[in-house]
Amino acid sequence: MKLAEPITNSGGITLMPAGIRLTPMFIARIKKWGIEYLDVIPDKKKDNAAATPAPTTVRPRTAETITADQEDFARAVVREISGPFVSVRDNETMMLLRASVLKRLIQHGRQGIVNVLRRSQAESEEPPAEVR
Amino acid sequence: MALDAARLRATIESITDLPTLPVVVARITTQIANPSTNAADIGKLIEQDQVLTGKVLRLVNSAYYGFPKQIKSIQHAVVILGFSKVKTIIITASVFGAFKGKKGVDLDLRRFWQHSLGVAICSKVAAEVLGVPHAAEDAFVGGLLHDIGKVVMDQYQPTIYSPIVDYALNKGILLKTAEEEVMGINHATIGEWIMEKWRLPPVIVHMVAEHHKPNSTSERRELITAIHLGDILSRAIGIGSGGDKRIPIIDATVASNHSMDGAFFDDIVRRCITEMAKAEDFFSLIVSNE
Repeated sequence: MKLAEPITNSGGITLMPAGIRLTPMFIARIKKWGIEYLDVIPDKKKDNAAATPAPTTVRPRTAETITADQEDFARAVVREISGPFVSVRDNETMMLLRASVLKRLIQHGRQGIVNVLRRSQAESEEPPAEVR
Repeated sequence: MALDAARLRATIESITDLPTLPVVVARITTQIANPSTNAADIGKLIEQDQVLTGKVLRLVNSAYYGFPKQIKSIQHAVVILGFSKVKTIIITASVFGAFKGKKGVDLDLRRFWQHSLGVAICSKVAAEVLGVPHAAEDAFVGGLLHDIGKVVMDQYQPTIYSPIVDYALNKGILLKTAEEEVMGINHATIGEWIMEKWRLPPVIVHMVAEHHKPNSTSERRELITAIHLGDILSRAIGIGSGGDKRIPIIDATVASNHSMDGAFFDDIVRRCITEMAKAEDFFSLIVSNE
């Protein structure tokens, strides 16, 4: 199987480009980076060739493999993002913006801005830090 | 009931402990605007302030900029970064330094600054998308400072501002709308007064003053539109809080002029989110005590 989407770090630098073939050794390496889910393109089955067994932590992103955790996360994002948009729901341009934001945040799971969003929420619930 | 704007301005300007920016900041921004200035001139000015010197050197050597070799002198840093980026760093570091340790009365200042940083990043992206990439750094600074009027009112005029904040939250309206209903003016005008007091460049004063008027006939209309869009994008993505729970509507003329459809938003939202992730290192260095 091949990588469908590039792997980037929190600084936006591409660590692994899309299209790279996933070997068991590679998968073991990226597990150490804390990556749990990947977008993959399954190999086409060759005649008389046994398919490479997929490690349990790497699975194609299809509807039937979306976990309960991912569904909860998606619902949380929709809930968090949609609040301010309620008052502008009759505005087509604003609804297009909302759709783009939801798509981006849900599609890219735990990386990037999601961490900033969650940190923003968590910090607002913590007591204020001691003034230095 | 509209307050006397002139009296309010005089009151704000007479506040003795109003945060100020280091004197050298105005000198640096003025010098940068001088077409005959050079990196050595700017470097000498920065070196007058040890804190700013440290910030600039740490940032230029950080992973955020990713230069391959260590940069050891301020003059070299100015050459490498360019005047626009140096101006952004100086103003950003100084504003955060001026408000360090302050606590909000009704505004959650931590979430407020997160919102301001989010708007700074989204405004910079918007400037690039709207066709004024040469002014992207100015858009960043304008986005960072666009709501400075709110925090000054919150901290220094709470008897006036607390009821306005409560009114906005209870009625479910924008803080800007509540300000206009009660005071006759909004935080953009107050921010303009503060920017003038700090002697920041006219382009930044203008962006702060006009950021709720994207249809302005000003020659800086595209920059003002960038802040308007940056504010809405940051709120849409959900970074921090501008003090109210509403999201302004993108001006219809702006949306039409720039063909803002699904593809437009997919692209600009992707860029904003990518830039926000990259900027974490930048901001942690800006706000650090070192």
